[in-house]
Amino acid sequence: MAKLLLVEDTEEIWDFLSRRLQRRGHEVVLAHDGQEGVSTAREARPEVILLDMNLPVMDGWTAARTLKDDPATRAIPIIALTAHALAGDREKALAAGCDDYHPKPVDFSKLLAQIDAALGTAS
Amino acid sequence: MGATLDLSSPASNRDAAPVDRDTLEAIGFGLYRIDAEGRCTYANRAALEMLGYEEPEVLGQNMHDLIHHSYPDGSVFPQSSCPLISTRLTGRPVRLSNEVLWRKDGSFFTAEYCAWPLRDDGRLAGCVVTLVDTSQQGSARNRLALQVTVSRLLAGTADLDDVLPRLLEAVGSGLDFEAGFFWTVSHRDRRLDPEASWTATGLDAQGLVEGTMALTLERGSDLPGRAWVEGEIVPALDLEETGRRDQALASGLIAAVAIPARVGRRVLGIIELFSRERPELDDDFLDGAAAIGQQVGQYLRRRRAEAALRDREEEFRSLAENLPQLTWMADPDGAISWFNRRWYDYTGTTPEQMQGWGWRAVHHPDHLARAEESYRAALEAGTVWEETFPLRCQDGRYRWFLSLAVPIPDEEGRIARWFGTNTDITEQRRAEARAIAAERRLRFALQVARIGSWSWDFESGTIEADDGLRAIFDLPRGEEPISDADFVARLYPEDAEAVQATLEEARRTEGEYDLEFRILTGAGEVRWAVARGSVERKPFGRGLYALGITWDVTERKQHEQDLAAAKEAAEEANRAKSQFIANMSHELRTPLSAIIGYAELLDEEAQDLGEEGAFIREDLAKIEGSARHLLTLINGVLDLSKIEAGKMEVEVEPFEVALLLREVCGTVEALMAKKDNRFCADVPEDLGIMRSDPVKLRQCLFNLLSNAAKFTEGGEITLTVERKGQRLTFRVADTGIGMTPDQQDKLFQRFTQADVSTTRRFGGTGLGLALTKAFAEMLGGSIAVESQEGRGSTFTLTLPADAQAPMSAEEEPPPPETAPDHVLVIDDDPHMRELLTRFLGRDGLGVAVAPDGEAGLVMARDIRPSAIILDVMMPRMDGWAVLSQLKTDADLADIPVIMISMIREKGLAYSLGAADYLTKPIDWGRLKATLDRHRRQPAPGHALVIEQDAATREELHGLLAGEGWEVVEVPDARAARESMGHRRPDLLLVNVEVPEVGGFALLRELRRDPGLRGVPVIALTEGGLAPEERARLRDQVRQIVQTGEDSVDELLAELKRIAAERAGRRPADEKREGTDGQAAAG
Repeated sequence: MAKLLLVEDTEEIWDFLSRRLQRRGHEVVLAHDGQEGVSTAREARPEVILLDMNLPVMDGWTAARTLKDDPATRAIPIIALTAHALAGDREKALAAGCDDYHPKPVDFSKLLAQIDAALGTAS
Repeated sequence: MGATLDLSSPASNRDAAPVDRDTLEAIGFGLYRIDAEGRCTYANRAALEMLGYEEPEVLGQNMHDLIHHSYPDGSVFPQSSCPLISTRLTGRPVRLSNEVLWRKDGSFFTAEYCAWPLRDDGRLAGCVVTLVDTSQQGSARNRLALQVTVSRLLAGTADLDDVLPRLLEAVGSGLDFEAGFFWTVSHRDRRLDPEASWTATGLDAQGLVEGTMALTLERGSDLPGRAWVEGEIVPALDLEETGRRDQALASGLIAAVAIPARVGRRVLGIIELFSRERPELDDDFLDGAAAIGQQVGQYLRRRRAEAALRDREEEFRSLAENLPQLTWMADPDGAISWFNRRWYDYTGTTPEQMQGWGWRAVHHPDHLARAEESYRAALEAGTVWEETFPLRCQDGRYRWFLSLAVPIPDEEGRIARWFGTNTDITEQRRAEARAIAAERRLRFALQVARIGSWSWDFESGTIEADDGLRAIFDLPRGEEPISDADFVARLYPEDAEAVQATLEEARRTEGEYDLEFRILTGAGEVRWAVARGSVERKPFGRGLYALGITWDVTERKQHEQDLAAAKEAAEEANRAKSQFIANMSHELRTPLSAIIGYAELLDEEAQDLGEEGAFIREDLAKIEGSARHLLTLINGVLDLSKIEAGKMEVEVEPFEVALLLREVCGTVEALMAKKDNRFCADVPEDLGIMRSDPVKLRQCLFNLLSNAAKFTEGGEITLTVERKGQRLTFRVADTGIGMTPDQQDKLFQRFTQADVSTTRRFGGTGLGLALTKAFAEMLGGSIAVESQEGRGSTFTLTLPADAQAPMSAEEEPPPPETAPDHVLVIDDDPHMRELLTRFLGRDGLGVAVAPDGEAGLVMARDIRPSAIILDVMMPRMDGWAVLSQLKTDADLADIPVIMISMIREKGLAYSLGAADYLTKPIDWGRLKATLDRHRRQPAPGHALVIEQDAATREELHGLLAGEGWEVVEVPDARAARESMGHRRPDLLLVNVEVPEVGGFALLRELRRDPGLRGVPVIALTEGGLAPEERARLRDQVRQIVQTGEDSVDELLAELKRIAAERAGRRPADEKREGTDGQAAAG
């Protein structure tokens, strides 16, 4: 299916999420902080990035901006994963350059649809 | 001279023959003899002649009573006072030189009057009395006798009327004149009035007397007038210059003399005498007459003084009588001899009752002793008496009087009497008592309230202040005025200037002041004080002064500061709490994400196991269900923190109420069944459309219903909904445990449940109602509760049909004239109504719905829709019937009606006047086109297109013109500004992507311009906009449209919405624009 980069520091989340995505046939590359996420994105060239916002080392918004500023990674769609559901979170994520937004807890089927959409626009 | 016959001399006469009667008759002086009892036994001829009696008339008579009965002035001369009595009693001879004796005819003469004792065998046997008429004697002796006579005459107390004729007789006869007049001098009137006349016995001078008595003489005229001027005796020996000469001469009177009666040089009267012979005016005469004049003058002065005194006394009494006070006079011993009329009127007493010390009867018994004591003390000391006491009025009531008595001395300085007044001071005392009481109250109030009062005299620069003020300002106590410098020194340095400025202003305007300032005490303590008052002109005297009160507000200030600090702390704590909740819910959601995620993962894996995994999947479902429940709770908390942070947003969209309610009822049905509750929903179909946030309304209703289900067991829960105009009421009633009033009060507070035991028994967080209330308010409505403990509760949620239109207090819908462009949908199928509402609402049209034909007709009349979409197949009254009624109503006939039906009956529809006829399933595009064609649509307005690319401009022009817009195209922002300067556009389409256009800068300008801020803007992009730019733009424009084939529909839809909105508010808009235009022109 597609190569996805999941940037998530919470083990339980990246564990189940990566396993479920893999069950659906996706290839999942993991990174556990923002900095690692940026470098992995450059190296692994994923088709979609799932980016948590509350990350150590470098937060998700910075990571998103960094990726969108880099012509090499600019085209990769980013879906922001945030645990906040406060008004403004979505705007904040989009303003940082994210292409879509998914509030936690994960609604798996919706997430899959969003990934599909991201893949569709990218293609 | 005198009678020297010694009848008792034994030496010469004892042995001689007794003097015979003839001898006695022969002698020239008068002689009579009286016995021991004083009776006359003999009177000789001379005596009888002198006295004018016959012998029988005197014999046996008491001679004193007969001839010596009166003093010269006519007053009674008692025999006991007569010196002659001593001869009779003691045997000693008595000799009186010039005694007045009275004749039988009432006239008198002066005589030497002597008494000689008669002895019979050594025993007193009476006496012999001799009398010699002294006027017959030598003139010197005569005049002396005259003076004595006059003195005696004048020494008496007889009336002037009696004295003056006798005086004239004595003087006239004494000086050998035959007639006389007495003239009184009136200095004020400068004239002489005849007062008395005398004529000698046997003289007929009636003419003269009558003539004289009728006269009034001026000073200097006639003889008396001259004597007045001269102040000396004036003779008229030949009656020269005498006005009554002829009358005098007629009586044989040939000479006259006028003797002034004077005191010093002051002439008080004139004695005018006439004579038949020319008098010899020798020194002896003149001296005697002058002496008599002096005597009479003294007499007149005394009489006049007495008269004046009497007059003064009269005046005094009259004054005392008429004084407004009660007045009285007392004798030196204090006995009151006179009260004025007022006294009697006031006390209702009589003079008899009040005589002496009778006044004590009207005194108040409690005060009498005191009053009397001080009165007696004053009498004794001879000092002014002053006392206040009540006196009884005649009606029995007492009034208070101030009594004052002054001693009045006589000429010698002895107290002759007392004069007293009693002044009614009842009113003064009352007023005084009231004033004292008022002042005490005020003082007390000030003291209790700890208010200081003060007055600042600007002239003297001093402040008079009470102890309260001194205490506040920490200034020394006492009566001494405070200097303004000391006062100002107590003001807190930073406040002093403001205080003085305010006072100065008040002084300038003579106005009021209200100050709050700090005081720095001597010990360095800072106090807050308030001073209020006004500057006024001094009541007596010139200049201004500030009058005011001051009180200490340090405590209040402290409270205010504490309160502000507490509020700050509370707000801070609340912010911290909101932050904490947000963080907490975030932290909770992460593990929850994992739980749900793993549960789903496991479920997927168990699914793979087929039959084997079935039992695991059941448990996994429970884990997931619980986790999702937990998530709901956390979301609730998060919602609250959103609300508190003001971050909760309302998303308004039109929806059909009945449909939403049916959905909610379906959701809660299972919940109701759980505790054996019966659920009854009374939801009418004609609730119509709401423009509100359906998610929040759903949550509110769900909360209320699940709440009711939670607290009710085996009871009944009812949902009742009704619509009144623009207001919807949702009522959820249960028959559950109910609430006490106290519980109801806390009900909508966040995190509060009825009580802790409720939580244990029924569970729940207490969030539901708080959220419901918050949502209700966000949607422009309210929630209320009625409850009775043990009987159940009823929650009433009231919401406006349009969350964006403020709910009016009126129950009735607004008048149809103001309704925006509406399409009325009449359909019995709720799903159809819902679908049409959504579809039409998306185009910016107002939608009204009616569930049947009758309601539809009513609504059509009410709102006058711009079009009606009418279903044919309806119960009771079908679409055809509705259509024909619409077309026969003159007011409604013009409204285009679009019929919708399952069956094709186009011909019938058109013949009945339908505008169009559509068959189900609906072709939405055709419906829209039909509506657009038939709806009475006004021209949308003036659109300004700012686009560099000419081809795109042309394309847009066509599109806009097709929608009825008037279009102006410009290539860039500069040209756009120029165009907007001429005419304000109603819509802007601006390319924001091409830098040459300057779209972003233009948008910024527009936002700053109040006149253009409201103009809707559609931003045109070419798809190359950076995400940040897009995000920024979204806040500023109505829509972002990417130019190209794909977006034409999107753009058209937006244009229609804008047009519809403009149509809805056009009248107001145009008015505003007009005003703006005037302002701009000016």
